[in-house]
Formats: sequence, C-alpha cells, structure tokens
Amino acid sequence: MSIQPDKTAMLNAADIVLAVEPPELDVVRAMKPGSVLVSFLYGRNNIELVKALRDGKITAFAMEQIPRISRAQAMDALSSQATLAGYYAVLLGSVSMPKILPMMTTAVGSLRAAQVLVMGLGVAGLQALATARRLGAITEGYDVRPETRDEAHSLGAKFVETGVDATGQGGYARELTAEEKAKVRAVLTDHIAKADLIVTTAAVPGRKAPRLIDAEQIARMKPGAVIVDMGAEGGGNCEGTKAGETVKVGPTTLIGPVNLPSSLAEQASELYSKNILNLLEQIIKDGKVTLDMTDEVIAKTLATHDGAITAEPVREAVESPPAGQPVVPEAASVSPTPKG
Amino acid sequence: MGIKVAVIKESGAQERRVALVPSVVPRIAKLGCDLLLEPVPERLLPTLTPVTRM
Repeated sequence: MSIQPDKTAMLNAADIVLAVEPPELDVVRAMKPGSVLVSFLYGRNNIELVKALRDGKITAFAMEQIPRISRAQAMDALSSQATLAGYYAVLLGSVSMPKILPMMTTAVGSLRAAQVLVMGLGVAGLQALATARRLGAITEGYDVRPETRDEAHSLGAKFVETGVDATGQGGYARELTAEEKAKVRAVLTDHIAKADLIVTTAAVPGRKAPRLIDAEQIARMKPGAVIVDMGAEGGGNCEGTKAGETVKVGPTTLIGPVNLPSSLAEQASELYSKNILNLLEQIIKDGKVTLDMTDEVIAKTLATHDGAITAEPVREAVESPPAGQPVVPEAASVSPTPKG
Repeated sequence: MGIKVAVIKESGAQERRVALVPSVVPRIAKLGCDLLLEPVPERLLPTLTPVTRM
C-alpha cells in the first residue's frame, strides 16, 4: 500500500480505480486505456461521463447495475445502501414529529403509539417498516406490487390493499396507468390522513419519481404529521418536496433528504467496501483482471468496455436520448437513492 | 508485480462515504493487489500493512 501525492500519476498507474460516486471527468481522463473503474455511475444521467469512459477505453462497472439475483446479493450496493437509508429515514422523521412513536404508560395516563405508513416496499421501505415497528409504532405498508404483502406482514405491519398489481421488471414496479392511479389514490387518501409519519420510497428506474401524495392529500393530514420523501432526488414522491430541504406544507412537515447513506458514512462505507470486494473477487483470477462475459453479474454490471457502451439502456440514452424527456436518478440511487 | 488498485477521494460536497475501509484491505491484498491511496490523515490508515511514502 502506498500514498500517492500526485493524483494524476496515481490514476495513470492504476489498473483498477475504486470510488463511491460517479467520478469527475478529469479522473476518467487520467486513467489509462484498458483500466477498470468500479463505482456508481448512473450513466443515463451522466452522459458526458459515459462518453469519456467509452472514448478512454475504460472498463466501467456500474454498481447500481448489479443484477438482483441470489448469487449477486453480496455485491448489491443499491440494497446495502438502501437498507441504511430506510433505517435513517424513520429516525429523521421521528425527531421532527411533535410526538413519540411507541405507546407509553405514565402515571397520568397512556400515550398512544404513532401511526407510520411506508409507501414503496423495496429494500429501503421494508427497513423503514422494520425500524418504525422496533421503535414501537403501529405500521402500515403499501406497494403497487402485491407480492410485498407477505413481507410487510412478516414485519408486523398491515398491508394497504388497493386492488392494483403493477409488478414490473428487476424488482421495480412498472408505471401505473391513469385509471390505476385514481384507484390507488382513492384507497390511500384515508391512510395518509391517519398517519403521523409517512416514508415514501417509490422509484421507477431511469424516470422521474412517481407522485404518490398530492397537495390535497397533504392538506388532509394531521397537524404535526411528517413525510420523509426518499424520492426527493428523483423529483419527489410528494407534491411540494424540495430536494435537500425541509419545508412546511400546510400542517405537514415535508423532508426531502438527499444521499441518506452518506449520513451513516461509517457503516455505509463498510457495506459498500464489501460489495466492491465481492465484485473484485469475481474479476480477479490468479492475480490478473479476467472478465468472463458469459457471467451474468459481469455482463449486466458493465457499462463500458473496450471503447463501447455495453449497457443497453445507457447506450440508448447516450446515443439517442428521447427528446424532451427528463431523465432523473433512480431513487435508490438515493445517489445513490434507494429504491422503494 | 500486483494489480494496482487506486482509491480516490470523493469530491461531492455531501459525500462522506469511502470506497474502501481498512477491514477489507487484507482481502484485497490477498487477491494480489497493491493499493494506491490519495493522502489522508495518517491516523485513518490501517496498521495492517506497511505504508510506503512516495
């Protein structure tokens, strides 16, 4: 191990470069052709970066593209970071509430437990449900994918039934039709009005975060209620969310956190390091970088290789971006913004 | 000569995470890698492997 005061020389000498966030262009330009980058990339939102990687003949692994298969769980950085983000979202919301989460019996009477609603039951949402339950809240979970019902129940939460199934690909929900949105809204409005704390985590990959709560629904919430919108970086799941800010919307406090995993940097780094190590163990054999393109994990995680963009959605975004269509980070990317 | 693995300092203002923590260093070394690091306060460096100042 050596300390390198000259960053450019270090990058030029490196066979592999490790980072958390998508690197600056000058980092990529200092890397030698054929070297490997491992980091979050979010290529659809970082087109110039992808072009620089392609033109520099860098082999880039995008940690957000690790496939969600059993064998790759130990490399799944989105999940490791989303778990921490979901936990922290509940803590963040709870300290902004004018009441406690658990039921408490005192000499002068009992205090009721708070009602917590989590919308979007992916990795972050399930961890939010579990955390709220551990803190003594009465919990409800909602997701457009009905298969999450059992997971919510296993965490002691009720599942809000809307009668809409929007199961999509890759563990994410598909976008709802207008009719489905109206049906879901009708059911959810009452649950939103009863909640003391809501955590929203919904994300659709490569698109603006879906709107789950509108101004009219917020206006019906209890005084002092809090929403933590984990989709803030992708445009927000709630009307009025401002990324990186806490705002009052009528009676409700609306928190729009960005990069939540960084708030728990010690353990987020520990988990991310292990995700990277497990990936390196797949690509380093006998002291050499060896890429087995028939390996699903390697093939799906590669964003650029040997002067080409290998990730199809990224290639489409770089070479033929849809006109007028905003491209936003996947919520998990909670910069990785965690997905719901 | 091992594979040279560089770990860069994050440039994002709100980014406090790092790509590699000391506890993982021995396993990276076991893969046959030499780590290259940007300067950081010495107290943060692991004592598991000798540090060579260049």
